[in-house]
Amino acid sequence: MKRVTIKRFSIVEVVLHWVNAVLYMALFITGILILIKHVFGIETALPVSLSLIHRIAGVLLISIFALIIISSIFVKGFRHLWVSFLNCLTWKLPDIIWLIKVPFNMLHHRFTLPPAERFNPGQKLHLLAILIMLSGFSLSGIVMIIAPGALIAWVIHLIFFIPAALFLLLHLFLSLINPSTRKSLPAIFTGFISTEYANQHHPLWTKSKENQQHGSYVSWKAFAITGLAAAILLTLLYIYNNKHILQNIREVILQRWTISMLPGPLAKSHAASPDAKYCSACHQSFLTPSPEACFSCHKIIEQRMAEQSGFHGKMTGQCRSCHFDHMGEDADIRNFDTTQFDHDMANFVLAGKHLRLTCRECHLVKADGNKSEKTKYIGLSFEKCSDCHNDPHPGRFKQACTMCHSENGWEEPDIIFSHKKGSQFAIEQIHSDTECAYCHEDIEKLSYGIANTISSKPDPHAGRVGCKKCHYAEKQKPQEYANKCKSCHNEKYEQLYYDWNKVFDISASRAGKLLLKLSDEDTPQLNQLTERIKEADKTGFHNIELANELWNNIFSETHF
Amino acid sequence: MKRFYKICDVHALNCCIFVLTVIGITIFFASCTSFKELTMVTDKSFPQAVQCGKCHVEIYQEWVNSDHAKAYTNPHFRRATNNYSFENCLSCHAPQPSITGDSAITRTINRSEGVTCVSCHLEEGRLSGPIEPTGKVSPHPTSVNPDFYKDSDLCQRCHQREFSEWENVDIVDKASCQECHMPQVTRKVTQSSGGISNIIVAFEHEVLQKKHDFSIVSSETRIDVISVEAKKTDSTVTVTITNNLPHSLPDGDFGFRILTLKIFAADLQNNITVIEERELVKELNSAIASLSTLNLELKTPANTTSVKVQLVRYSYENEKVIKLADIEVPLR
Repeated sequence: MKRVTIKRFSIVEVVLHWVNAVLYMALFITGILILIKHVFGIETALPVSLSLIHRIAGVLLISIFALIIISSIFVKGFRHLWVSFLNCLTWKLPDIIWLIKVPFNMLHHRFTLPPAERFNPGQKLHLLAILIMLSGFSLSGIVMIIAPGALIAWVIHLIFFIPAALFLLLHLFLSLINPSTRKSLPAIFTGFISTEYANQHHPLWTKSKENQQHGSYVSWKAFAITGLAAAILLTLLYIYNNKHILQNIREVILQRWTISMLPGPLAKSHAASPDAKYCSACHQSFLTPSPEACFSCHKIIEQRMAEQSGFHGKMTGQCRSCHFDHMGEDADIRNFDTTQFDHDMANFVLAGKHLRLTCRECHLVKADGNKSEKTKYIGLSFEKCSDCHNDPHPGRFKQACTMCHSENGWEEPDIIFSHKKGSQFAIEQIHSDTECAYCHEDIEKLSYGIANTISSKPDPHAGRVGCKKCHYAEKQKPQEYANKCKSCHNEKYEQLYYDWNKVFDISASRAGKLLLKLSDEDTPQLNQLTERIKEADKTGFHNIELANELWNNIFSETHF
Repeated sequence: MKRFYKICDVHALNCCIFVLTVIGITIFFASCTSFKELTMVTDKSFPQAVQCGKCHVEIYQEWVNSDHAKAYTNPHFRRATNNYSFENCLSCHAPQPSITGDSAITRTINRSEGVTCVSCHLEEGRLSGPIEPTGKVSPHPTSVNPDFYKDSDLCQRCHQREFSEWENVDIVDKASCQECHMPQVTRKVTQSSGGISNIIVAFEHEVLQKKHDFSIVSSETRIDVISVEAKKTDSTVTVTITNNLPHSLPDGDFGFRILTLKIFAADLQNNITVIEERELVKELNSAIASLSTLNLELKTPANTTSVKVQLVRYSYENEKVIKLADIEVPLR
């Protein structure tokens, strides 16, 4: 008895088709989006990485194919696939004629096509193309996994993309849109095709088959497939509503994937960066990592190379010529032999006593000033001497350190400028207040009542009593100063000197306590306060009333 | 009728005598009791100049504008002693009344009046002075001590170095401190206004006494501060300035006293040019010592006919400006 439907595809073929179709579509869509991003720069706002999906789908596809090929040796049910495979490899002349006649047939049904077998030549061509392209994609994909950065893989991948796109579009057109052929669509779901269609489109196949298998009225396969599809949909919905599962899976896959791709563990400093989870932090899809990837974090190096300053400023080419990662957690990417390094190539040329230092004595600090275990070579401040050295006479001189000091040493005879007896600028050699004011201009200004924050009266001694009247030696005891007061004034001024000295000492110690109390406050404010305290301290006897006013202002404003 | 008058007279007389006696006793007791605070010095009370000034009005007015009154409240003194924390200075700027002692002692209360009346005039519970009391009744116990009050020694207790300098100067008929710094005036000792005060100082007569303004210079001193001579030599003019005072110019020990000496050259059309400007500061050894001369050789413009010398004293950081001398001499 003639049945309505006839079996066209086995369950194996149906499942195989859909597995392929889903993976192939995922690969195609992600591939074309990646290509659009690279060529046109248009990015899609997807939460996941395109290349990740592409690689997952690609690996799955390759593995499924491999699985089928291997299992078809052992499992009888797969053997008929080989028949289809061999079929698409056998081409005769009528097949070619059929293909040529297709465009005419599309214009008008008057142009009839020769009768087709189970698979018409178009389908054979399609299958052949698919197999070739899948092989090409798979092989180049495997090369990409094994040898990243190899160009041939990328070239093949891109070349095959064009025919893949064309055939896919044709396939979708014929199965979904074209009126005469879309009637066969149920076959790929249920495996059964209408007999009328089979007789019309594949007459040689229906005629040859004697015992054709007919389907039941109720398609149990359709039922099962629908149930499966529903189950899959529900699972997806569940996962969608519970995104953290997706995240976890994603994290696990990501981790496993990156580990599988990693040639070796990242160095500690790179691994600690949050971007390091994704290879794309440094690596690109098509090109080997370039300096731009390094510069995204190592800004100082970028600046140095752009300005051509310092050691890196003299370097050209790629970072990776000298620096390698993936050598292990404890590896030093810097690849730096301190014994062979010529410091003259750096921005700070070592001279004098600096030559005798070990690297760590200067480079032991992090950029933020905290000492660290790892030496930091680039990014040290070195413009001012006070970047490394404490200023033992803070705030007293406005001249640069190099006016008096050189790199040969702090003590005599290395000091260029000293007030010690016998030195070039011993006090005996200084004859006028102008010479003193050349360095000690700040004292001169204060004696005339000019401070940074306020202006007051000049001290009566200013302009009338020369500096050397009181300062006659490099170091003087308080009694020597008191004696100087007495030498112009009367004996009672000795006590007056000590009285004022005590007042200033008390103010200075009070200021010390104030600074201690505020030591964890806002730094710019603290720096400003320290400057004011220094100013009041050095005013002292040079302008007693101004000094008092400055101290009072400091303590009243800080409510101390 | 007669009996009535007799009785009335006797009673009237009695009443008068009685009333007068009461008044007299009241006055007597009033004079003893109500002015006690003028001489009492304890931990809690100190005679205030304001109280003295209620009767000694003119003297009080002179004193209150003088440097003695401002010796403590002067803001420069306050700053110089770091808000009165330097004890050494307070003994002269707010002294106890101990005129018989060798040196001044700081008083503990009522310091703001500085060198006040009783600092010099209170001696063993008596208010003393150089002249006899000029009224018939005095409300407070008095004593007279002309030798002490007319002598420079009185000032020496605080103005020690100026006194030692003055002491060593050899001038015939040397003027004492009081002679120049407390000008003469003829007046009553008190100028009170008010009922009881008038009765108390009834029959007060005018006498020669001293103004208590303690001025730096006065128009009534018998000597000029400086003498100036200007002699023309070949290309320059020699100006000779002589200090006629029995102490150096400027003098003083504490604070900053600066004299500015300005010398002008003037011609017949009265065109003035400055030919010299310098500071005289004792601490910088540029002061003119007593009876010494300052010789200056200065270049003058061609038509100069006279030389004008101005000496101005700047005290308290230029707040107090006193012209000491302004002399014009012809060019010889």
